[in-house]
Parts: sequence; structure tokens; C-alpha cells
Amino acid sequence: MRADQQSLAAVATAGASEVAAVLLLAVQPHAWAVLPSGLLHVVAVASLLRLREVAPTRRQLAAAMAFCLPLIGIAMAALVVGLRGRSGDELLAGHGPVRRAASGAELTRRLTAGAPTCQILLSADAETRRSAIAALQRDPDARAIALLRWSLAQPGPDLALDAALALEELSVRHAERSAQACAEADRRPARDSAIAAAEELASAIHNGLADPALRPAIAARARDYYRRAAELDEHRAPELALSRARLELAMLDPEAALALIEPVLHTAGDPQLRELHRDAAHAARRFDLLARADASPAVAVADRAPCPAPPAHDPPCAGEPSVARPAVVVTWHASESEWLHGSA
Amino acid sequence: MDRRSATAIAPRAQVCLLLEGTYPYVAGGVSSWVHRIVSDLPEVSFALLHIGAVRGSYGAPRYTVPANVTELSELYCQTGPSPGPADLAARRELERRIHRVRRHRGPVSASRTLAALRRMHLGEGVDDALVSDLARADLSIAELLHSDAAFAVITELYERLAPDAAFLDFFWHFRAMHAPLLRLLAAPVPDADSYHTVSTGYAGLVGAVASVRTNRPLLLTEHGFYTRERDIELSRAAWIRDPDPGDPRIPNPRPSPLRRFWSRGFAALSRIAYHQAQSIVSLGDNLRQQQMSYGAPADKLLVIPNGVAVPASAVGATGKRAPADPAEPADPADPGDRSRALRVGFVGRVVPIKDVATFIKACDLALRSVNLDVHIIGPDDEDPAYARRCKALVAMLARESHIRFVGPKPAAQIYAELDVVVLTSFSESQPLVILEAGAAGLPVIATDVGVCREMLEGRTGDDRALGPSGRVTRVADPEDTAAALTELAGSPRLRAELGEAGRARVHAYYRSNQMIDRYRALYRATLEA
Repeated sequence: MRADQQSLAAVATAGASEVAAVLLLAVQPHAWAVLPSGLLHVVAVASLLRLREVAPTRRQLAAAMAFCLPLIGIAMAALVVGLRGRSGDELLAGHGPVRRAASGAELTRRLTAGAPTCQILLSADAETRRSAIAALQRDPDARAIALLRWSLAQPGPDLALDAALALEELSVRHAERSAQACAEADRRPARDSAIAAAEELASAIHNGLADPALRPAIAARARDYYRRAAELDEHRAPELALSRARLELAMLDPEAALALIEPVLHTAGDPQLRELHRDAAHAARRFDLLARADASPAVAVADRAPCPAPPAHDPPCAGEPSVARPAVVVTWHASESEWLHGSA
Repeated sequence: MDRRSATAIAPRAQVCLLLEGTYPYVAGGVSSWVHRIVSDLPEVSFALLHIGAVRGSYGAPRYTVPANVTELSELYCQTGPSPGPADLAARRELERRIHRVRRHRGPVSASRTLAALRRMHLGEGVDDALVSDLARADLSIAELLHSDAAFAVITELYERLAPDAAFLDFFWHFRAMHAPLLRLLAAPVPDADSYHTVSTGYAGLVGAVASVRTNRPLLLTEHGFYTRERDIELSRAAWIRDPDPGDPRIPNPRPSPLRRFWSRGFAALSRIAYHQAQSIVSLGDNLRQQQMSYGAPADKLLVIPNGVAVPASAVGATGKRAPADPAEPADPADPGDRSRALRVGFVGRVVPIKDVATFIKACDLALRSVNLDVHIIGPDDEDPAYARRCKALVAMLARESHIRFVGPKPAAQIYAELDVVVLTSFSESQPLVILEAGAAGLPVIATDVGVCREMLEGRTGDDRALGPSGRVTRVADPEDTAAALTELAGSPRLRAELGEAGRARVHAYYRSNQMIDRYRALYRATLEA
């Protein structure tokens, strides 16, 4: 017999005994009837006490109710026995980290009294240093990665070790995420999954996580997934221009970025695309394109291609080798990483 | 407590070696060192106590235990999973035990061990009284888990050490930290004339309390830094939940309270071993300085470097064959290309701490300008996911024809097939690989960790006069390692000079018999004292 059935049988026995006791007193209101009625009441309580399938505290509570409140107590005991709560294990398994909103005073203290991250990283206190590294690891944007790489070059071996492990951890996580995204894109070829895979791969180039040795290979894979995404929905291929151009610019190939942006610049009308076009034109030293980008869409579309022949000393157009051209970094905003690296 | 002994009745050993997660079940540098010590000191009788987490987590012994080992015992500090909510019989038994504990112990406990655990967390220093109180082992696990006195200590420690954390988290972390400690404190330890632990941590604690109980000396040889290794694990541990750090853009230097609690617990274990040890052996000066920063008293510290066997024929021998012309970029399409390549070896386990990924990236960068034949020599079964990642990296870089995973090899074969040895570890103490490569007359490129710099550039004035025996590079810096590889590939003469310096250095300062002689003298002095 299952535990629930045993409980039900015990409560039923107790209930039957209790009803019998009350009926006996009602039918035979004599003094002699009190003893058998009391015995039946005791049987009811005892049957509840024998409920081994429930926790002792609940069992005792049910018995106490049955004892103190004839008839009604049995109903309440049945409720006690039948209730199913969440166990402690479930509570423990599901509980999340403590969420505590930082007060205004706390934020002010951190902003005014807190040292810059570089200074915290150089702290002699290992716990402070590790907490700063952990914070960078939690939010691994380009600034955080730059700070971790900067830490590698600092003289303290412990700081370098902590930073190296943090970068390794981030690389592992990125490798796992990108492998998952690529597998999904390969398993179910669709525009969105291909874009997701490409974006995941490209993120390591954008935030600087990818080593120089790996950047070309990662970029090649990202380009491949962007190309697949474009092929899967040719009508929406122009929408990918911004992402693809950003990747090319991050790979220090502004000519390729321009080649991707130029055909859609004026049809898309995306301000981000215009900004990226300006950056790419600056990086490629195609200052002639700057004026065209600001011109009216009709004019720009009309004289979109081919590129005008460059002056003798100007860099070549897209499609020609651009290896000798110095890269001009124009997409960085003022941030801590900028002065870490020095002037671009 | 879960201890079993290989021999029912064993004579009292002269030295009981306390080994945590290493010899004879795990291959590696520390195990090789232990095996050499035990094998090369046949006149000393040893008892071995291996401390592990859970029975069954180790396979068969990787080493044949020498005849002078009188006893091999195992001690496990964690038990299997506890009964689930459906196991009513086990729950009833547990409730009976809790009831018994509560009846016999009030909110104020007479346990000196509980008081010592409290002092261990709250106090900065370690004294004789603390170690002596721990050695009494008068606190049962049931009392730790269920007594009001233990709960009062948990509450106090929570309020004083980790009020930022959730109490429920702290409560469970306290239990998880201390239950293994109590098992170890209560465990019988082989009877021996002296105790020698090869790490701090749990092995150091067991050694310290055994030393107090028997009034016999404790030696400590630290191959790595237990506290730092645990800190590294803790900083990456996903099983510790941290309070919400708030806005990530605003610097918040407040350390994670639970990680800090664990870290300080392990640091306290190290300080207990340092306090009780009669002598503390460092592998090098750099490590000695770091031990002092972790709390080791300077007057107990002495330096005994690792050593390797140097065949007499190796002294003054000429270098290895120089490849024909590695100073050209590799041509993957040319099958004969490998015969002209510089043979580069990574010797070690394929695990994250060795940073094999950086080694692969460095080789890829170097292969753009010179021709290399790269061998990754060592087991890759310890962290299969990492090994897969490294192999995928090689494939992604399309370097399968130049970078090969060849698995473990006998030491005698490894160095005869190489021209340069590279070590890109995140963390090392005194890697035997560098000494073995030096003995074989091979130049080494190693990261600036542990005592690698003094092993390659010299420790004392005379040592430095021998000249460098390799290149020291920055941690996790593929470009730096690639530059060193390119430099060595381009100059057979430089390789020969570095190799000769390495051979001379190992012969002069890192011979196995020198190390053994010093340990023989140390054991003799300890036992006589």
C-alpha cells in the first residue's frame, strides 16, 4: 500500500471511530456509554498517532487536534495530513543570489571614494584584486578585456595569473557559446540562427577577446555565417550590411567595410550605418566618400559606383591590396582602455 | 571518517608522508618527487597516508610502491550523498541523533575543538593552544551539524565575517567546510617517528595534529602554494553564489564574502601547518619569499631544490642535432618540410593551468616566419573538454600537420626527439620538465612563474655566471613566446649555448643525489632531535 493510501486509511479509521463515539453518546445518553465512547475517541487519536508515513510534528499536530476537538478535530487532522508543502531541498535548489539594490549612498560612496579599476587591480590585497577581476569577468566588454590584458603585463605575478585565468575562462565560455550557436545554425539552417552564430563569433573580435593569432580564423567563420544568412533570405541581405561592415572594420579592412556599406547606404537610411560609413571612409582615407555620404540620397545612389580613380599618392580602391595602409582607429570612444593603450 | 590500511599490522615507520590527492594515485611532478624520495632513501622506512575526497575517485596506483614503504593508508574526508527526503528510515535515525545531541549539549559547548574552529576564523594568529585544541577532536560531526552551540558559532561567524551574504548560504558553506575537517581530525594516523607533509591544507592539518598528539616532529615541503591554488579555484567556483554586485560600471572592490570565508579558512590551515612544522622546505628563493608572505616563519625555512638524475655521459656532451634550416616559414604542402623543422616540445598534462592554448597560438605565430615541428607530449585525459578545445584550436588554425598531440611518452624518449622545450604554464613551482630538458642539453622557453626564472637565469652569483639556459616569457602572451621561438629557430648556435648552460646548471645545482643527500640529512637531524 502506498503512503498516501495508508494515510487515508488511518484518517478514515479515526473518522469512523469518532463518528461511532458521537453516535453512541447521542443514541444512548447514559453514564455507561461514556466509557465506550471515550475508548472509541482514544482509538481515533491512536490511529492518527500510528501514521508513520508523515513527519512526526505533523502527526502529533493531527493527533492533538483530534483529541481536543471531537469530530471537527478529525477533519482538521485530515487537512494536516493531506497538506503537501515544498520541502527544504526544493527551496534550496531554487533560490537565487541575494538581490540587493545598492542605495544612493552606497553608489555615491563607490563613485567618490572608490579607486579607478586600474588602481584596484594593482592593490596588494589579493581579495580586493580578485573581486575587481571577477567584476571585469562578469561584464566582459571591450574595456574589461583591455584591462585584463593590461593586467597581464603588470609586474605582479599574482595579478598576471588572475588576469590570465580570467581571460582563459572568458575564452572557454565564448568557445562554448559560439560552438553552440554554430551547431544550431548548422542543424537548422535559418537566417536568424546563422546571424546568431556570426554575431557570437564576431563578438570576440569586437571586444578584443580573440588573440591576434585567432582573429583571421574567427573572422572567416563569422563571414561565412553572415554569407549564409544573406543567402537564406536575399531580400533582407542589405540589413546585414551594418554587422558585416563592423566586422570588417574591426579586422582593420575599411575597404571591405566600405564595399559592404556603399550599396545600401542611402536606401537603408540607418544613422548607425552612416556613422560607420564615415568611420570606414576615414580609416580608408577615402575623404571623397565623406562628401557623397552627406549628399542627397538621389545623387548618392546615382553616382555610387565605380570608385573614382585615386590620385597617385592616395590609397587604392576596394578590391586592391590594402596591407600597407596604416589603420586609423576611429570607433573608440573615450574610455579607460584608450589611455591604457596609448594613442592609436 | 573513512580510512583503510593496506597492512593490518605494520611496524612503526620512521617517516609518515602525508599526501593529498597525489602519490601513488596521480601522475605528476609532486608524485615523481615523492617516488624519488622514497626510492632513493631505502634506509628510511616510510608510511604513506593518502588523503582524498571520496573513495573511488582515484583509480589504480600509477607507481609501484618501493619495499621500504611499511604502510599505505587512505583517508577520505567526504562521504557519499546524504539520504533524500523519501528515505524515511534514514531521516528517523537522523532525528534520533539530533535529539540525542540536543539533550546532551546545551547552547554552551565544552568542546575545545569547536572553540578552536571559532578562533581559527576570528583570530589572525595560530598558537600552540589552537593546534592542541584541534588535536583533541572532541567535536563530533553530529554536534557540528545539529548542536545549539555549533549554531551559535555559525551565527557569530556570519555576523562578523560575512554579513553581506545570505545566512542560509553561509550556514551550508560552514557545514561543507568543517565536516571534512572534523573527519580528518578524528581519523587515526599511522604511527611514525616523524611526519612529513608535502603540502599545507588538509594534509598539513593532519600532520600538525598528529605531531601534537604524538609529540613528534613535522616537516613540510611545499611544491606549490595550497592557499593560492585554492584561491584560484574559489575565484572560478560556480557553486558559490555572490550577492548582486550592483552596477558593473561602477568599481566595487568589496570581495565576495563567501569566497573570502573559504579563502581565509584555507589560509588558516596553511598557517597551522607552518606553525607546527619544525622545518619548512622551499624549492627556490622566490618561493621562499612567497611562503613568508603567506605566514611561514623565516627561521624555519630552508631551500632544497628539486633534482633530476644526470647521467655521467651527459656532462660535457655536445648539443642535439641542429635542424637543417628552420628559419623559413612552414610549408604545409611539403611533406619533407618536417625533416628540416625545429622540433619543439610541450611536455606536461593537457590541462588549463598549463595554458596549452597559449602554446598553440605561439607556435602558430612562429610558424608564419620559421619552420617548426611541434609535439604536445603528455596525457590529455585529465580534462577532456580542455584537450578537445586545444585540438579544435589546432584545427581552426589549420596547423594539424605541424602541431601534433602525441600523448604520454617515457622520459627517456622525450628529450632525444626535441630541439627546444616550451612551458607556458599559468602557475608552477619548480617544474621538473625544465630540469630534465636542461639535463638533456635542451634550451627552454618558460613563463615567468614559480622559480622558472632562477632555473633559467641562475639563482646565485656563480649560477648566473653560467649564463641563461633559455628564455623567460610573460604569462598568457603568445607573441612573447613566439618571439622567443623565432629567435631560437634562427640561431643553432644560440640553442647550443643555452643548452650547454642548462646542462651545466643542472649538473651543478639540480642533481638528484644532491637533493636526496639533503633530505637524508634533514630526516636524520629531525629524527635525532
